[in-house]
Amino acid sequence: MGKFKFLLVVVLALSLTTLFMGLGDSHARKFPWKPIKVIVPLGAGGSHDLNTRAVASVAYDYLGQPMIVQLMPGGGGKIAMHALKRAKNDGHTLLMSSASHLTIGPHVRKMGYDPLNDFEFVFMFTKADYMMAAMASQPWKGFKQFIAAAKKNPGKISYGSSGIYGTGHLMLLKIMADTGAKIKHIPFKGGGPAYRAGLGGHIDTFGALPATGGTLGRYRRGQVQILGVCSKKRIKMFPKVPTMIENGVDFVLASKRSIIAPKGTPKETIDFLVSAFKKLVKNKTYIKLLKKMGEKPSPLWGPALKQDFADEHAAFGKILASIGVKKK
Amino acid sequence: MIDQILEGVLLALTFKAIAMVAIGVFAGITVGAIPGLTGVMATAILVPFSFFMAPELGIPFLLGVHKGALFGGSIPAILVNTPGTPPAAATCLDGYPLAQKGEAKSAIQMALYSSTLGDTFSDIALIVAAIPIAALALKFGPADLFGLMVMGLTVISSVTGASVPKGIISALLGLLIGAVGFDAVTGSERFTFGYDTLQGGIGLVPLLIGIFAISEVLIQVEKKLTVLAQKPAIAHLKGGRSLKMKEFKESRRTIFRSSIIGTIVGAIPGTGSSIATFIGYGAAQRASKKPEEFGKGSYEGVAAAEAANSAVAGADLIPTLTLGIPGGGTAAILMGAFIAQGLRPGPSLFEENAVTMYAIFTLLLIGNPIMLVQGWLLTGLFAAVVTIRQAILIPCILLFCVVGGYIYHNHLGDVELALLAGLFGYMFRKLKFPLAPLVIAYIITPMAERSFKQALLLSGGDYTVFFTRPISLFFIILAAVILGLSIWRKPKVAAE
Amino acid sequence: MRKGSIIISIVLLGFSFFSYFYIIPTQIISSIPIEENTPAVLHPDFFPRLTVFILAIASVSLLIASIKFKTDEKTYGDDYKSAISRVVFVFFLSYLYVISLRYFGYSISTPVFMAIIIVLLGLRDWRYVIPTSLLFPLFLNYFFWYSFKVILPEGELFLK
Repeated sequence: MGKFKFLLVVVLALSLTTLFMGLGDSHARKFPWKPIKVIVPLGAGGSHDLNTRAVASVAYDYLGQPMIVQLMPGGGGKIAMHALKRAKNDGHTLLMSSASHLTIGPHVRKMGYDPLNDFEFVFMFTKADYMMAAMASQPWKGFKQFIAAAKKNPGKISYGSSGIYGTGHLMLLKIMADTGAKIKHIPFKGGGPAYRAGLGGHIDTFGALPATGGTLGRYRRGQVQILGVCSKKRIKMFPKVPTMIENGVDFVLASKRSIIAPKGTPKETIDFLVSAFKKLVKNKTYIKLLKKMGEKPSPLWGPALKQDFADEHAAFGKILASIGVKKK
Repeated sequence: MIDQILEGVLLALTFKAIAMVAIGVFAGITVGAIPGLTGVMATAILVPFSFFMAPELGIPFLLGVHKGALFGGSIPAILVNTPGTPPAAATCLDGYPLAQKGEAKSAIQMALYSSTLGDTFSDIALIVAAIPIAALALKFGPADLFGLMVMGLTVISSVTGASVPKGIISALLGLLIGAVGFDAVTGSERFTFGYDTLQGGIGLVPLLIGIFAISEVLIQVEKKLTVLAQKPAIAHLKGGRSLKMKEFKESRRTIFRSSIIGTIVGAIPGTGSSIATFIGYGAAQRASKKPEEFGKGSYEGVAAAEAANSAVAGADLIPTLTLGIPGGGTAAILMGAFIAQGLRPGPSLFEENAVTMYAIFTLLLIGNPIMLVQGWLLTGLFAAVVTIRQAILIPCILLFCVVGGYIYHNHLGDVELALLAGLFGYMFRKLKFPLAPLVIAYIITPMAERSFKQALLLSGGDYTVFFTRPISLFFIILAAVILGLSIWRKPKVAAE
Repeated sequence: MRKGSIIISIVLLGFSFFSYFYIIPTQIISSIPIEENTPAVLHPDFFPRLTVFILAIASVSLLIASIKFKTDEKTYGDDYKSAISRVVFVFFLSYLYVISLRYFGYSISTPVFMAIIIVLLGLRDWRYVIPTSLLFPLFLNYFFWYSFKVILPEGELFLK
């Protein structure tokens, strides 16, 4: 058995595998002609992942092809964004975006992509409004008293965020800027640990989403107080909770799940996806799944969606610039 | 109450429900045995399937996966020095030397028995004492977590191997590797050298695959070609004998101790099974009558690691179900599944859904004998891996490493990282540096540093917090005692 | 082994100095100015500096220990002969394989890589080489796709 036979192995292997690659690459194809890959820039099991899987579980009926969820949490999501940027813009590779990679990250670090011009904004499925919470046992009740207490003892009352430069941190920065109160910032790794430290009484205030960790139940039992919700209008689930705008803090923030596509994806393809997703969000199973997670669809598409991202990008840029964040 | 328990048990004892657990356990063992596919990922992938099942079928299915994966990870760890899941890294330390001696089968059986027992122990703890344990776990603030991590780091002192300076150097390098990525408090980038892959830190899975598995491959390819291409010398043993009753009996106390450690550490959210496993392993070595055998093929070592890591399976559900705060990655997904089934975790879960919950608990317990039977049937089959020619086995392991490194985050940069870690591990092992301190330091550092800084931020720079909080003080004293004992006992061990 | 220990401790000592004076100052980058009154412990470079400092001490003690005590350990049995060139070759081949995964994808690169390694390790029997290098990778690919919906690298050359 010499070199010749060895070479033969290689040739044989090559030819056989090309066979399996599938050579049928005809031209007149109607989108989608193969499974659609949706990249998730965050880790397994998070609300982002589960939201995407809820979409994927019913997507076949509307797209005619299965939807495959591909998790790429490496490098703080940067790797996922680059994978999308590099992907072929035929609509078969999409990404379920979260705010931090598009509207915060680029202000803080060199990301190597232009958040507003390198991608096509396709469709927003859901959003979860961000809230600020505290234990009900605190001596102060409600946002006004909280701020008064914080002003009385500058730097004594603490706030636990999901991480430095995360969405929750931005909320705190904006609150401090607009009210003049000084609050101690304690960064955690993810919203879960911060929430837990809040319930354990280790930190005074913390961020919360309506659905996660049984916030609603704790609020109803009077265990937790909600200081404010970062939405434009009061939300149905918490009708008595004032918005941050009512509190005098001009800040709107929601955890959004929007599909984006690489730049240059054909308009017909995007239109196809939008019309399919518009039908998908009315699917009973999908709504049921979301409801079980405590969420509901809030579809948005077209120029309005892009405007939404652009507004958030500008607003966050302003907050970060005011505290002297510079890209390096 | 009794009616509800009975009703729940009856709901659980259907063929369909038990079959779902069995399928879950089997899927879990398979997933666990594949490096790079972690239990977290597998449950995330399988969650949508459970959405379409009744709660008393869907949830036990996922719990089966959770259980199975923790045991499954030990199989490649023992056979080919490749931890199938991160916590199985501690199983490599003793399991692989056993397999090299031709005792793969008995080593896997030891892992199976101790996994099952550890799991059963923590399931019982979950059922009986969930609410008080959860209340205690919530009391752990940043300072207390730091205390716990300090105690965890003292484990290193017992796994330094023959040369103390080498063990310390290994741990220090682990600390440096753990520092790569974003600093939690200032958001600064540390040691990223401009590479995107390093921004989120060096991934646990690529690092473990690299330093354990790829380094092993590189060591193996040094063998003579004739040895590599022929059937291995231990092939006639067919993977070895069954575990002797005596060996099992000798490890009884170790299994019990590790089960308690795994249950306690697992119940504290955010600590994870890797940390529990190494604490259990270190404690076992310290208490063992034959500490010198650890790292060279000790059945007690395998038992300590596996009992601790499987004891996390039930324990991390404690805060998840009673407080609605996930105890770990997989628990977070399981919580999602519970919510999706209309079972909202929290203090009221047991009042509102008592029957369903008792059914789930029954199936959780039934899952253990099922795992035992499945593991028993599969052990011989798995152990036969050691009879494969190395010229075939080595490329297959290498392929598993590459694919495992890739599917971890769907990123080829991680595979490159794993290869580099492999080369590093190869040199490290050639120079007779122990790997365990590096891995422990790497796993514990980020959490220790973060909790330390959070505690100081909260106290306004006051260092006394670590001594005024009772939980933190308890762990720091415990750490000091352990260190003192190991210094006092060391010469004695060497003399034996 | 003694000589090896001396060399490695000198290398580690050098690495500690290099890290302390070069890597730590240049590779810890803060995008936001750290507040002036932040205690030194909270700075991102505190722990790395401390670690490197202790590393330097540990290297010195290893150096002293290896000069003072003669600890010759026999490393490996008879099965091994020094074959560093093969180790280097396997490593670089694996690296090449990962690069080719990026461009050519899993299905093409894997069988070639597997076949080369098997032959390199001295097995030239067709009955083993073909199934291992062809069927096993194929099985893995289908297994991951059908059970976990995981797509192995497709190759950028074919995607564009």
